[in-house]
Amino acid sequence: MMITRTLPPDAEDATIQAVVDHVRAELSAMADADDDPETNAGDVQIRVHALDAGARDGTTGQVYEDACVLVIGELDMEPDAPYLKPGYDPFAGVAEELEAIVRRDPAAAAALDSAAAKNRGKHVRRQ
Amino acid sequence: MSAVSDCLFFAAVFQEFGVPVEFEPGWEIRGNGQTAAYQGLILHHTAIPASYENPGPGTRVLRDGRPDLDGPLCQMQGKFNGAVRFIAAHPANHAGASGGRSMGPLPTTNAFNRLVMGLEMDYAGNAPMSPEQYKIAKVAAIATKRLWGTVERARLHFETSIEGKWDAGWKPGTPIDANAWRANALALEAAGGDGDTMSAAGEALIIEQNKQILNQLTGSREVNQFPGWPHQRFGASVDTPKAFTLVDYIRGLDAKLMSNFDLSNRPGDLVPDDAVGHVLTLHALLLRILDEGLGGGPVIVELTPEQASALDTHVAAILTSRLDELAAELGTTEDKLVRALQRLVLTPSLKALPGAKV
Repeated sequence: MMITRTLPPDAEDATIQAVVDHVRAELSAMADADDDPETNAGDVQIRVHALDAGARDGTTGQVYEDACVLVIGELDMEPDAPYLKPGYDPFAGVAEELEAIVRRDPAAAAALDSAAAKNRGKHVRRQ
Repeated sequence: MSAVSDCLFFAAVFQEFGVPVEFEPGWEIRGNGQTAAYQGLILHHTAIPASYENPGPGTRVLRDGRPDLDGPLCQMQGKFNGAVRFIAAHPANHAGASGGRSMGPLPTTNAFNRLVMGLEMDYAGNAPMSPEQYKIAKVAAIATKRLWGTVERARLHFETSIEGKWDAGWKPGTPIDANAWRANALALEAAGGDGDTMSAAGEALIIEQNKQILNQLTGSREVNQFPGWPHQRFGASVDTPKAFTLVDYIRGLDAKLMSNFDLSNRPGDLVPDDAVGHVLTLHALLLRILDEGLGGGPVIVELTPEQASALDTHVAAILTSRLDELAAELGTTEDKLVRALQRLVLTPSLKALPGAKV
């Protein structure tokens, strides 16, 4: 997983550090089923670069039009959350009148049905 | 409430105010791996140019992310044509580090994305969003108020970011007025949607008319779709572009007017560099001729108020009808201008005055 943030080239050290902390916590939480910002924090790789206008970052290949401080965070883990796991019911606890908004949309309803058929035994849709 | 409930609550409010909603397949199980505890809304722009013809160019990026930032990148996409597309119910990578200049009641935290829904308006950001998108923004702020108690929980990314972000913007580097956005949202809700509630057909008609006006003013990508007013064109040639919109016309008119005057010899106290300024300059020169004559004493001995008024009328009429001829006669010096004014404008005007002594 990767999160990249850009800051102005004259960003103060404290601001850069705050963004680094944010990136580390976000990635840790993304990979933890309980969203703990600390659990995986030690495994997050952080790099900070100062880029000139129009520079291309070697890792991502992304070109940045404006000069910036680039904060790149990487974590070699997969996202983990209940809704990403088999058996999750996205409409559990959702009021019927709200779910009906999706059901009234033919395209959205068809997509839900298709996903349910494709993931039968994985994602369970409440009927 | 769950993340899916929160999104559908927003969808219900959008529909209440006549905003169409769409759902990107898989939206209900899409997220960055965090679990939502939403308590506010952040308004962004995608920085991707959009149009009525291409109202949602950012959908794929918002869903899948960029090479340097994993998706999803928002919960909702505000399309240029006024529809809202739900991209992901669960947390997305959009808010960045919080703690910016105006957080309102939102917290400063390292884990901001799970606390705020992201509404990405799909437009360049260096020009205003479409009116339909601004309506989306207002209705989203209303939904924020209804779900979390106060409209102050709807913030611009510009307000919460410590990273120098300026979205949602309306010109380069400049965000929209956040307080006006929230106030306009409250006004819309207080009015019960008045002014925004009309039939779908009526709304479609207004949108279509807006598109027509915009394209007529600025041109269209489709050749000859908006030809403007060719019969108004001066000096049309085979090289003249076929598309000739109002903007083209005004630009051409301005160039033609400017070419008629020698800017280097204008009186220094009449500086406006536009058509009005030039008319004022001409008027001043005429007054100077009337007051001082052309080196041989005053030209006019006396004029009654009626004669003065008639003179003004004649001068204006001749200036209008003989602008081309006048321009051809004008040289590069004030003397030439004065002589041309006397021959082409002043003398015929004076001769037309009953009883004037010349």
